[in-house]
Amino acid sequence: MTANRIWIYGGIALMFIVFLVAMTSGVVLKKPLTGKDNVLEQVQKIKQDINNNHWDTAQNDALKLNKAWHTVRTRILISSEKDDIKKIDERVESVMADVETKDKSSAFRQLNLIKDGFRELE
Amino acid sequence: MPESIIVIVRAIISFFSLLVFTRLLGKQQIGQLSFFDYITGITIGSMAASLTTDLSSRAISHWWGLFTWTAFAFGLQILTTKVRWWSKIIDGEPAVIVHNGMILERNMDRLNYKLSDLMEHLREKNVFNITDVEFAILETDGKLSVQKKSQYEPITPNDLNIPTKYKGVQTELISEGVILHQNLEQVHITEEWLLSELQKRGYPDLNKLNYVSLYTDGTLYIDTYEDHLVDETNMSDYEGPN
Repeated sequence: MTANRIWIYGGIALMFIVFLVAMTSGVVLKKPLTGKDNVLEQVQKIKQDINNNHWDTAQNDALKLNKAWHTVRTRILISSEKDDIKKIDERVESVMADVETKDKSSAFRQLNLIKDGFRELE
Repeated sequence: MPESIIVIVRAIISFFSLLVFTRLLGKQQIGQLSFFDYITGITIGSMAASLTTDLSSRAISHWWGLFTWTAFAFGLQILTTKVRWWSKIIDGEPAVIVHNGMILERNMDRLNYKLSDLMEHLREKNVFNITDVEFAILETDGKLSVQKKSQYEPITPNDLNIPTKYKGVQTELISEGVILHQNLEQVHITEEWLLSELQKRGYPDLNKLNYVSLYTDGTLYIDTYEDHLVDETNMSDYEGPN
């Protein structure tokens, strides 16, 4: 095989590797990389806050959840389904509203849905 | 990240993946398509389009679909090349439709090929008289190959026993001002010879040359960017924007 062909085939293989990594990167990129993008941790914190009726803390944590989600969301846009991302968007908004209105049951439901949806994201 | 950027990224993945896959499948996907090749091409193209714009599903799913279809099409190509039996099953075989001037209705029925299809394809081959036809063969890609009766074929030098010179293929030497050194080597001429020949003919500047080719009899065809036409033929029949 000539050197040219090696370069061409190597280049093509590398290109496909990059594509496959980009398309499956969600599993890795949704994990916390910086200190402020741990979505599941924030979900857990909000649950605890609501359980203890610490609504002010819950509100702060809900804002942090929103921020964390938007950070992760940007990273996984290429690999994930648009509909799955949109659902989590809506649920995070819903949690923020539920915490503000102190609607415990709705907040818990939404938080659980966020947790399940987030785990299924790829 | 706006949706448009996601689409652009997926389009890049789809475009270059499709480029490699179709290159792998070779010329069968571009010309001389059997019906199955045609369907495969449409399906693969459809999957590439979905990969680009269907944001409601994961890019990797579409990509694997694209890859799988290409892999199967490629595998089938290999199989039909190596095993003639499979080639007959997958690609079919050419079928004789007209044999020694007689229409073979049984073959036409078997292939669901109507008389009107036959007449249409003959007209496309500039055959307006079925009596001119010796053989007509329906190929696997649906095209009709026609051999006319010898008395209706154009006369060739061979018919008149006229000897002819060898006529090979022209070789491009310069394209858009650039010397094609690989082609110079193929026809065993040097760059110095080429430049001196161009100089003799009044073309010292390569940048002014669009196309130069060498014929097998040694003549050079030279085309420049400037055409110096005195009276250019105007194909337009009536006034309007150019």
